[in-house]
Amino acid sequence: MGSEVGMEELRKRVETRREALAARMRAALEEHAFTNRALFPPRQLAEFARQEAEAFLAFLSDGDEGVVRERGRALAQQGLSHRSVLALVQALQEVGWESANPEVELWPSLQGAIGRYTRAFLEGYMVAREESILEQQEKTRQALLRALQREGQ
Amino acid sequence: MSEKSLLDTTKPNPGRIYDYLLGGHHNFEVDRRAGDFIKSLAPFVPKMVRLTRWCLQDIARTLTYERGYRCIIDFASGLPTMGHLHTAVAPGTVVIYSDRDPICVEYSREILGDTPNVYYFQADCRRPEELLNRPEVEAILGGNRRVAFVYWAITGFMTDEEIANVARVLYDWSDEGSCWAVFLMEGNPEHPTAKRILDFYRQIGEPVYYRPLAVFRELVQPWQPDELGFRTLEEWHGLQDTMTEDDKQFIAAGGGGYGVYLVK
Repeated sequence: MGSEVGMEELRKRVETRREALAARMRAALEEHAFTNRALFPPRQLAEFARQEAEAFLAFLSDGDEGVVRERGRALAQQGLSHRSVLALVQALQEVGWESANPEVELWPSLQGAIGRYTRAFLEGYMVAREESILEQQEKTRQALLRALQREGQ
Repeated sequence: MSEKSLLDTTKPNPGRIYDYLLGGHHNFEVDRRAGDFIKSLAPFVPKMVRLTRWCLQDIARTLTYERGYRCIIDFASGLPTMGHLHTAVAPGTVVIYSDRDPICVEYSREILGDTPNVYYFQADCRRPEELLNRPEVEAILGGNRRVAFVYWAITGFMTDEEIANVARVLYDWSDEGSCWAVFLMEGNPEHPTAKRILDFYRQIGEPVYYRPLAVFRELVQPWQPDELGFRTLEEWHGLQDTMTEDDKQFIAAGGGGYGVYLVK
């Protein structure tokens, strides 16, 4: 991670694009709305996009990758699709680049911060997805077994 | 379909196909193949499934926070995963789920664990009296019969006679002021794609019935729609243009169906 001053400067820079970030994230989510599961009805996407933009800004303030990992985990559990996640990452990178412009020397630091954020998010998301699939697989097996046992009684 | 055939995991099951189309993992290879077949015929179906499922959170909030119901009785519930009714109701609300699929019931009980005020019973939505008259359900309700019933995305699997019978049973059983949230699946049975899908469900022993809104209104008498009336899925979610022209040909004017709060 860069110096604290560096991160603060990055945060201020991205903050000037806060609305654009939320809007771009909203557009990304809307594009993939029908790949998500239950907890992301279309009417709530704007609010969710705003929260996601705020989460990145918070990361630029505190650099806490654990919080980001937990966010990725929670969103996987709530049924956010991998397509939505990838679209969010792309939106983040695009707005990040725009935020750095025209002072391109800021871009490597910002790119590094986006990379750390994305890695932590994806790690939490993927671990939770895998856990969820394995857990559901086992629950299905147990449920089938119990139903068959009950039927045989 | 008998309970025995519901346990046969070599045959596709509509509930598990629905779960697959929704992106879930409570399904088997045979269900996924069936789901892929349906998607290949009608790419809009997964969208429709999600649009339908997303209504549940609205229903839970509307019924409990806005209309004050303290008990929701849901039929053909499927899995009570995130986004189902009990996750969005007002605190203290009793939610009674039911499904006829024994695997689903067992799985659901595991998911719910000791979640307070939430129950799951095995029951066939075509015969609601069997659930409503269970001693355990009577004990849970403690004499309260001003309740909200939910039949969401299931009436397409019921005959006209079954819907009319359910309407009568729920009406006679419940107190004045009760509510019935129900979704009517609509489609154009003459469309070639719709015909193939109807054939498919007939072949797996779970015939699907498309019926126009006017017929449905008659079947659910004497229940009456509330002031919101019958809403298409797009109207419900405030969306536009989620369908192609061909989708519209297939799923008819209602955009796949209508959701409504019926009141007594």
